[in-house]
Amino acid sequence: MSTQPNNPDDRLERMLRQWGSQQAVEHASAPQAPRPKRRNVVATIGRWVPLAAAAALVIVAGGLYEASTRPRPAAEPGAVGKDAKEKGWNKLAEGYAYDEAEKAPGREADDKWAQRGLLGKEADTLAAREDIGRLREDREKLAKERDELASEVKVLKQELADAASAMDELLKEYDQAQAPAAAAERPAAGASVREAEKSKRLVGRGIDPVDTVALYLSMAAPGELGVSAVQIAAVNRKLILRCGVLKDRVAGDDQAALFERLEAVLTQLAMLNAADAESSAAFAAATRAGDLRQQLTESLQHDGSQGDTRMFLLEMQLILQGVDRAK
Amino acid sequence: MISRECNERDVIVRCQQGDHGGFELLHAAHAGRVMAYLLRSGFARHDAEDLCQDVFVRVVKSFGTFDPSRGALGGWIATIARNVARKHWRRASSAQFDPELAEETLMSDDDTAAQAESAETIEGLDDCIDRLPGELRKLIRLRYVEGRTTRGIAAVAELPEATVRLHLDKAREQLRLCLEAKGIET
Repeated sequence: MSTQPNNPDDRLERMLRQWGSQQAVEHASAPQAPRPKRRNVVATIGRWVPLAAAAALVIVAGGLYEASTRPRPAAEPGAVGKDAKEKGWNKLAEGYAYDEAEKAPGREADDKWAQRGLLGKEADTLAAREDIGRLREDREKLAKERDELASEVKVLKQELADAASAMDELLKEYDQAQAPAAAAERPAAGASVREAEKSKRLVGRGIDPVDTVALYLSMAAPGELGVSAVQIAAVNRKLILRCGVLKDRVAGDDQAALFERLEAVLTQLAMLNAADAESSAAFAAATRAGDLRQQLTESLQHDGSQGDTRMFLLEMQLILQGVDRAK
Repeated sequence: MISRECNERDVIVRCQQGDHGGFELLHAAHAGRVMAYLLRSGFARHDAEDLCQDVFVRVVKSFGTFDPSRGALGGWIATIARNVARKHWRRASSAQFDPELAEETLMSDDDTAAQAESAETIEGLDDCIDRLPGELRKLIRLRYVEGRTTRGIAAVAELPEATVRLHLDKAREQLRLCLEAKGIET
């Protein structure tokens, strides 16, 4: 089945044309049939006889005049016959020219009629070409925009990847810093090239390179300060979501209880009015009360949490420390 | 079919005998088609009416030259209609009407029998067209009933031609879906 419009091979197109033709005929409202006039022979004769008589008189008069004024040539053998023949040829030529002149308008009309059919199609073709031209231009513009956007997306993706790996690195370092045995082996600040580079970047941004909490919040909630930074960091790092997933995986009642409490803290943090200093202070106080932070530390040190669970717990420590600083 | 041929033979005989009743029957059978052809060719209604009269005056006057053995009566009348239209054709509205669609109006039933759709199918299509939104239905009528080109439709509907094409494509798509729902394949 052809999907081209106006294609008579397309069945729908044929159906529409048949329907349209029938509708056109039904709604054409043709005028009444012409009635042939009855012939009045007497009146016809009466009208034409005088005219015919007048015409006959004119012809006769004309013939007599022509005969009287014509010069008489010297008689030659065969001269009369030759003259008549020439006149005959002339008359034929005149008749032919007359016929051609009569037919010419008809031929011209035929040509124009043939052109008419082409005009309609030509108009459609021209319009279609214009449309195609415009669509091509639009397509080129869109392709260019798409390429530009693709480049931007690539850059953003790279920045995101860089940010994610930087966060992973930070958390690993923070984790290593927690282990007492690692303290003695920690490289001196600025000793490695990477440390020096990192220090340069962070100092340039006004951040203490050894302040992990500040680093974490600056990466998770760029440009934010105080309680807002902590709130936004928790959202950006999807901590509530991760807590819910990990809660189902942990083994042991203690771990389960810890995750329940952490989930409650994150929920309260999400609903906190960061602009209200009193609320922020009350929240910080609530997180310090009880043994939540102790449980968190013990879980990291003694329970042997690994992988995603460990990373989550480390981030919760940093979040809680951020809450303390923001009060 | 047999009845139609008998009727046509009867009409021809009566017309050849100069029976005015025969000419009335001939007019009733073919005038609608001739009028639709003239309208679809781009003639204004009053001009089309005059020309339609002109066509049938010529039919009456020259009926003696019609030879049934050389073709159908409808085809002979169509030739006269085309000649009359050609003589009075003006360039002004040519690009707005599709000559192919105009010509299809003159095609006799015998010419179209091979590819004609059944009455039920056309009825189904008519129903689907009635269900189209008003604007799309209007464009379908302008195209297929009045026989206009997209340029002609754009002029009447005061829309850009590209929009007319898009709307017609949309209308056809909707008709396709409607017909398929009725079990009519397109």
